[in-house]
Amino acid sequence: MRIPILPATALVVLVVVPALLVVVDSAYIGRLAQLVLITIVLTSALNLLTGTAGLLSLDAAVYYGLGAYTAAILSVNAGTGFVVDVLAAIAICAVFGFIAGYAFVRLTSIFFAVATMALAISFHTTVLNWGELTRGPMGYRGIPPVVLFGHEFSGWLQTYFVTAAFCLAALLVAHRLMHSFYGNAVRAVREDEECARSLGLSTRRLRVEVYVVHAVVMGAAGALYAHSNQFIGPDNFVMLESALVLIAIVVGGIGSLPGAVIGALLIVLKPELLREVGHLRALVFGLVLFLSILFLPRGLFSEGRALARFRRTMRGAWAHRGGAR
Amino acid sequence: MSAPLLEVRGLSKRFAGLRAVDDVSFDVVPGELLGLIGPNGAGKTTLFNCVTGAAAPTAGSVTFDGHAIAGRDPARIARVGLARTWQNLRVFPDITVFDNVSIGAIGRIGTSLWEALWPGRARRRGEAIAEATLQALAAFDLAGYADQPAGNLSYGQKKNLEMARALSLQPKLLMLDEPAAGLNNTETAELAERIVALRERGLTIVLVEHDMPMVMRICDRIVVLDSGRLIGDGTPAEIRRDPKVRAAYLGDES
Repeated sequence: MRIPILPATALVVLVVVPALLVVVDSAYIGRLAQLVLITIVLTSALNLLTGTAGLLSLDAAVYYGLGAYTAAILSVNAGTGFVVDVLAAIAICAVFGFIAGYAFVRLTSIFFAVATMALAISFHTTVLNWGELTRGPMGYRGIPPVVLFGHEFSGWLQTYFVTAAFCLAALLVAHRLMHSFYGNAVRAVREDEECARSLGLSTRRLRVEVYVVHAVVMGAAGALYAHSNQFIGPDNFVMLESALVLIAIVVGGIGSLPGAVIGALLIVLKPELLREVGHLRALVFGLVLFLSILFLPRGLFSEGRALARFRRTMRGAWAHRGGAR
Repeated sequence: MSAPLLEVRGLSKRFAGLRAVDDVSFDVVPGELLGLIGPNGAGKTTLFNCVTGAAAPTAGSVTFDGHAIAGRDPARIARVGLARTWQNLRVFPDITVFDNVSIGAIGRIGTSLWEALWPGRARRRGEAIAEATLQALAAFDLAGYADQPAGNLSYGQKKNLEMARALSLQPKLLMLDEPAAGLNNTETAELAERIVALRERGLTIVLVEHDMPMVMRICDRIVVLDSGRLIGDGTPAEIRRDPKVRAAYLGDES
């Protein structure tokens, strides 16, 4: 018997984990759980771009940071609330993502990766040096907590629930795009662009769309992070963060949504679990990553396995016989 | 005769001094099976690419079903009903046979990001795609392999997959670039049967091919290309008798 994966995920994220968190009752672990959820949003969005569309990208920190700074600047200087900030982050990341995406998708393979890396470096440098707007290395403190429907979500448990709802929404978007005719088209463009075009797919438009979706999802995650952490600084958005998100999806399974979730769990929790090892932590962490890539090049949960698993869930929307086998 | 489906007029393609295709004009009328032959280096593939949008011609015009398509985006050309296959196999190896074949249907029906996000709309679109895909799979005996990765198929099956994928686009004109290359005699005979069956269902086909016996046997009409120029245009019997064609292509076996 197979577990219905979507309700099971919602149950774990909304009931099981919070129940455990209440039992443990540790603000530290609560924050860690929230960080896992936000990282899942980032890995899912990146896996849509780098896995499904095959565009190796190092700019996760850019849109995550752009969303976070949009929220921080607006709320601290103009007194806007959470909802307005998220919408503003989405709008800014959509516009910025469209411009960058339109330019970048002409490039493929390593050239695309280098362009996104350049973007990530420029973003970090800009944030550090545009003091009047970003407060430079000081960052923004005193960002107001999340307020929704007139209720203030403060404290780690409430913050967890807001993040959980947001994470599930992001997973649903990634799921509907990756496991449908849309994902099929995007994967075909990845595998052979010229051939996909000869079959009527507007390949460049598809790539720009995916790039904008990834930017928007990450931007919204950044706005949520700013409001839940209440402090952001340029160190949160260095290129190393982008690389970590990329490592997470490679280890979890490139192009696979369950892989994105597994990778996010590993990338956030493994350094914490290895705290006992002390100074050797970084070394052990690196070794584990290296070995997993060596022995599981398709990741812990490969794309092929994920696609086979989700095919039934999507039935008609994936253009299949609806569980005929 | 009805109005032509495809009109090629004065088509030329030059590469730095080389006239790969030189002032070529021909028509394809609805429902016919046209063979395009010529010796190696005659410009067949270049001509093919100029018609399907993979390359832009230097001069001349291509009109397909009322659309001027020379130098246009290949995706648009495909969507107005001109499908092609490739001389070298180009299946998407890591995705399943079903998903491969569905790409043509997706290209025709469209990849709306917005509709993919809403269950009801996505399902309606998906079902239309599935219908076209299943028909194409069945026509090429691939239904039993639907859930296999395309990379697992045999060479001949991959060739069939390419044709099924082009057909799921539900084209008005199908252009085949050397489909018999690399096939054994049995497979070539099967291929010929399939092509004839498609023509009998009303599909217009242009066949670029090296396999002379097959072209002579199944085509309604043949155009012959040599050094980029059109040197013959007629029925297989006429082409066989044409001295210019014999000299250029069939060799002087007289």
